[in-house]
Amino acid sequence: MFKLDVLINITEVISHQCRKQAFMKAGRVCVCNAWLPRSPSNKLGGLPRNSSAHACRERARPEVCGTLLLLEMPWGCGAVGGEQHAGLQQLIALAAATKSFLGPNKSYKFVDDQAGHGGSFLVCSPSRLLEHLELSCPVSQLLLETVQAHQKAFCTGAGTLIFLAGAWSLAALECLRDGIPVCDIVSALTEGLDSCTEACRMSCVTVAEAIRSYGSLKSRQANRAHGDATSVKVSSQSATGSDVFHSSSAHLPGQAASRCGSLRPDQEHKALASLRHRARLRHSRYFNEKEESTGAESGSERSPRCESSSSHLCDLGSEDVAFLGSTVSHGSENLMNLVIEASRIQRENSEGRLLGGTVFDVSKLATCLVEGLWEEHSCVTSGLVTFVSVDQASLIQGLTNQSLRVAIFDGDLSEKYRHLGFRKPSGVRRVAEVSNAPRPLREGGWLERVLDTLLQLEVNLLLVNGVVCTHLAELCLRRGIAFVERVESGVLQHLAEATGAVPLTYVTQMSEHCVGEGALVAIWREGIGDGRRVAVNIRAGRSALVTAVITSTVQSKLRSLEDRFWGCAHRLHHSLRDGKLLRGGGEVELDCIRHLRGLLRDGPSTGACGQNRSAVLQRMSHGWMDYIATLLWNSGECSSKLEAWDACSRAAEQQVPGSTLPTVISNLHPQLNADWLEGGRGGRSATPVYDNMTVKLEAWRRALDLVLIVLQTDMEIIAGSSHRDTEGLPAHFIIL
Amino acid sequence: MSRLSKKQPSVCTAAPLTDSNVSQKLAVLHQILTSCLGPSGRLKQIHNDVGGHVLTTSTSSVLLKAVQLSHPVPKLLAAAVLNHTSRFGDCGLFAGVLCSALLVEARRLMVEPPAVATVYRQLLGLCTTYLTQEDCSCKVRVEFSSSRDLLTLTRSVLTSKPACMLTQVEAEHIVLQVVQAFLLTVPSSTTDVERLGADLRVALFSTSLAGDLAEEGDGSLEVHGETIVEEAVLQQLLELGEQLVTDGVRLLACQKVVHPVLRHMLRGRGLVVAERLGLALMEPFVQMTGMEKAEPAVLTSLSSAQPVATFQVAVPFSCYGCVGTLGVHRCGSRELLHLLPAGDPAVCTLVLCHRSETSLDELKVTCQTAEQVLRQTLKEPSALLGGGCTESHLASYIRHKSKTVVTQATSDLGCSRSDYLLAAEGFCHSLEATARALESDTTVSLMDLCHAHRWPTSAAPPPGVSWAELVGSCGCGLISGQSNMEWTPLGTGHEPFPPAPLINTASQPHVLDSFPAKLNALQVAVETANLILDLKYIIQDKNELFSSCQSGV
Repeated sequence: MFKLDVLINITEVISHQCRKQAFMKAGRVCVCNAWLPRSPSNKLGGLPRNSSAHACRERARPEVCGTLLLLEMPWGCGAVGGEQHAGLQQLIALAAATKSFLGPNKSYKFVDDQAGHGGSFLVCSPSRLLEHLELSCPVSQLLLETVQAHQKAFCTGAGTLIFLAGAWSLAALECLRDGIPVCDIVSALTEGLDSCTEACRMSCVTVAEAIRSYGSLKSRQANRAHGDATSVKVSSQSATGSDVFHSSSAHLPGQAASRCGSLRPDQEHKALASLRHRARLRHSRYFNEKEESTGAESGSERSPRCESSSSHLCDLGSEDVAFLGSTVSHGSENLMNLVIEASRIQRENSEGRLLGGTVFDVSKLATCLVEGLWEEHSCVTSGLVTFVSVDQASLIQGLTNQSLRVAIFDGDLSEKYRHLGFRKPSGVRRVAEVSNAPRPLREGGWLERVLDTLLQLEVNLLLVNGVVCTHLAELCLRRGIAFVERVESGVLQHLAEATGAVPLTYVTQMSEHCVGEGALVAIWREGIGDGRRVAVNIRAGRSALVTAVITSTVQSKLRSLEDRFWGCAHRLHHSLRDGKLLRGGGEVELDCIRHLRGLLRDGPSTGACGQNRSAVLQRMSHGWMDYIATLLWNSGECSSKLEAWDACSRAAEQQVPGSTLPTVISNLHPQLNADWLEGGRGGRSATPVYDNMTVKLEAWRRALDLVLIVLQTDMEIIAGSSHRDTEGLPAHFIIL
Repeated sequence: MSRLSKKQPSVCTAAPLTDSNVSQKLAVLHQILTSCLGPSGRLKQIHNDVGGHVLTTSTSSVLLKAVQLSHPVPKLLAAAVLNHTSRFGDCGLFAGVLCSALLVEARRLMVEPPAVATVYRQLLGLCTTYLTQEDCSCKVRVEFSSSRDLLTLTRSVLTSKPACMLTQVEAEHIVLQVVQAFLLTVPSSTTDVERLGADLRVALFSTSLAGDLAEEGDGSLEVHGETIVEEAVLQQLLELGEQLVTDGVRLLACQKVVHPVLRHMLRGRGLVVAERLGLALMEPFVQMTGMEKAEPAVLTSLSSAQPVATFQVAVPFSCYGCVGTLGVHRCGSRELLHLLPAGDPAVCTLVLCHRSETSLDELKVTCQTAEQVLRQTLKEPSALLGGGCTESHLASYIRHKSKTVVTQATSDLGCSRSDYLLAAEGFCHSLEATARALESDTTVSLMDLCHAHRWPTSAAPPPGVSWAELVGSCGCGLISGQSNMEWTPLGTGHEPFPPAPLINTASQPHVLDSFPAKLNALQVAVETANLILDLKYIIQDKNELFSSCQSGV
């Protein structure tokens, strides 16, 4: 899983060398290809080698004066140089650098900043790669903006977005080279995507169907028919029963901590099965019965409502969620197992009270990164797991199994700290009426007041968003008050809700009603941490908060693992929220290619307009074809890209709905059939693969929007350059 | 001020328009603006080349604000367009394109620029008279009995900006929302809603309540040894809070930050605190929380809420306003505080969402323009035919009219007959060029010889097929292909003819432009062009960093 692919170098030195060549090229934003030759085995073949993400400019800008440089580029406008659309070329080059992130087997990349200020980074997702690159050309800024907006909204799917932005840029560029006018390209691409999106919405699979095909729901329905007579009676008892269960289980710290994730892909099935088994055993009798009875009450109208809204997915069983998770794990089975386990714990903790109508609440999830342990040690724990300084270890041990009074602060705990938006008055001069009047002792005064307040309100635990100043920290330790620093604000909010505390900014604000109760703290696991820190677990009685502890022996991998964990969590979250799934592994893209072919057949193909339309739609489908081919190649199902293209176009030609990619590939390699059937290495496992509908369709739409914006741009205007910069500029620069 | 450097003498440039450098800059500006025009217009990327925000737009107000021009003549043009858009919103590109086209034409003619300016001025008078006539045949009345015309006006504005990145369905949805928002803001005298429950009292502060000394200024502050400024200010804030509570205020709104201690105290006492409203929200907030004068019996002492600019004195009771109810409006993952007005003030909020910031910025500006356009219809319920039909129609009208009034005009203006006719031809040509700026890569413009509308048609017709067979309908959609019509390529010169009014047509225009905006844009364009044509000297003071300029005639 840890293979390196392309070294991307973002040094100033190299880009400096390119600058000289850059302005030689007439009418182009320049390019830096210095990093390409460094990796002989890179996968960037087939792309314009003379274009890259690193557009460099040759001027330093000492001061701004009122001029404007107009960089007139042949950005595909009119007759001159339509085939040299610089913006599209930049998009293609940027996308090319992220190709190896597609598919379940991701390669890591090193981003090495030799200029010395950033160090090196190990990245495994396109959005992180973009973040660490020095993006100087405006198109890359646009791409970054698009990707970040998408990440913020969905937390997954950025790879698809960037890949298709590149693929469709290539399509648009080829169309421009063929002399197809911009407005025809725009209208045909828009039409193609609209039509395909509609088709995908029609052909999506509901979550209930996906699970039913796997068999779980069916068996449960059978069970329900069997136990129908008793269910009503049980449900009337279940309310009290579950309360009892809850109150007894909530105060046992560490009980729900459990290990999972120590699974290799080939053990996946066994592990899933055992997980299912275990999940069932752990359920309280009341819990199971109640869940079934609610299902039975709405049984008559169940199937239609299942199709129409996602809210009824709340009657999914643990094994259903586990199955659903495994279908959208996209190669991160271990991390998805953590998510599934988190969902199970959330259900257990919030028993009876559903998590806002769903079985999994992604907002009540936290991560804790631990370096130095094997990845097999990753696990999920109820409550918050975080690090505190080792000085507090004995204090926390003493506080274990006590119900603590907790105060929550959303800033730093220091005398100097002021809330956001406060401007310290400047120019304050102190005048004393009596020359030898004693100056107030501020430092000691503040500390004492804070400590007095805390002791008076009998606070045992401080949760702080920022840091606690060292003096206060010492005093707290001495007086037996534990404190946790750098807690995320979302987590603070959940803990505040669960304990009844009110988040405050200053200690002076504290009063009795701001203090929360019922927090539990314990040393989470001995021997974790590096000698300076110790891991603690903080739980609050009614919180569904769950922490995933992600471990790795390689420190620089931790961030990537965390990103992938959040990707998994959000994929499960979106599946539950959408209630619908798209068939994954390239199947839905294959459908789109077939759909576009249908459009080509049915639509007008004569006349200049019709010919242009066919050409654009054809190239658009090549974009998807490239996506599938890259996917197959990256996942090792095809030995070369050519073979992947071949398999893909064969599959696209067959109009039979049953002709899926695996069947076509298995026809290509009859000798490998056996491997696939067993779900062996490199092949597809028997678990179906699904994609999130909203995420994928939005990613397509955003990719196309970006391509269209760049395509329709014909000028780049550089504002705020000074006169000095303009000396010796090429002819295509005009000062306006 | 330092006097070390020697004072530079001012630089005087004579006849700036003859300078090839100036005309090159004007030509580039003309090209930029022309290529932005219309639904198939091209976008411009503006950035500062050091990795800052990238602006992608084809809106004149955004574009011209972002670029800094180096020469006084293009600066003058840009300033005129920006002034126009700040008042009318729409038709900024039209003004810019027409103005620069008029200048380019004037330079081409072998006529003295001031003489051209005189003729332009007279022709502008003819245009204005014609457009303001009741029977002007490129003008339609906006019917308020149905929403059709309002929708058409809005749609024309929204679809003319490709950077909004809307699909047809999305565009239609936003058009509906904009028109609905506009209708909600039109005060109606008939509704008299009976309200249940008391209104919520509101206090609004424009000063910072963060606990700092907002009005301290630059001077230094002397405090006595024992006093701690921060605590004193906080004490004052808390006293203010106490007063708000005793006065029965339910919502505290502040343009800037509210001190967390005050916020905490007020929330504890059941008040809603809304902070960081920002300057843009202040005016609508005041409007909305203001009481109507018509209901003095309910809450006599309350006039409209006024933003309080200090927290150091007690809030006068008359400063409070009120709202009907508070609610939470969910929009995606965001939760927004929703204030419903007491009484019936015409305030509504249009919530715009988009996938990317670039498109959202453009969409926001475009929706504001659409709102301005709709508002103008209240004052002047007319609209002009869009899609280049008004321009070609007007050019045709002026070409014909100038021929008929030539004798009178030459004696009035004191210029030669040939000069007059040349300048008039230049004027009409500029108008036609503006209409042709709407062409995309694949279309060319035709003009019919009856009503003088603009007809877009395929630039590359299949061999053996004539243009006339391919035309569908005219640019504004009012006339569709008729077999008895004759067409000529727009802007290629033809015999002058009086464009015939369109009578007894059942069809409705698909594209409409705001009448007041376009009329003003026309005037701005011609007058700015005249001003530039009248320039004899540019005198630049070289002593300042940003050189100021003065012009003399």
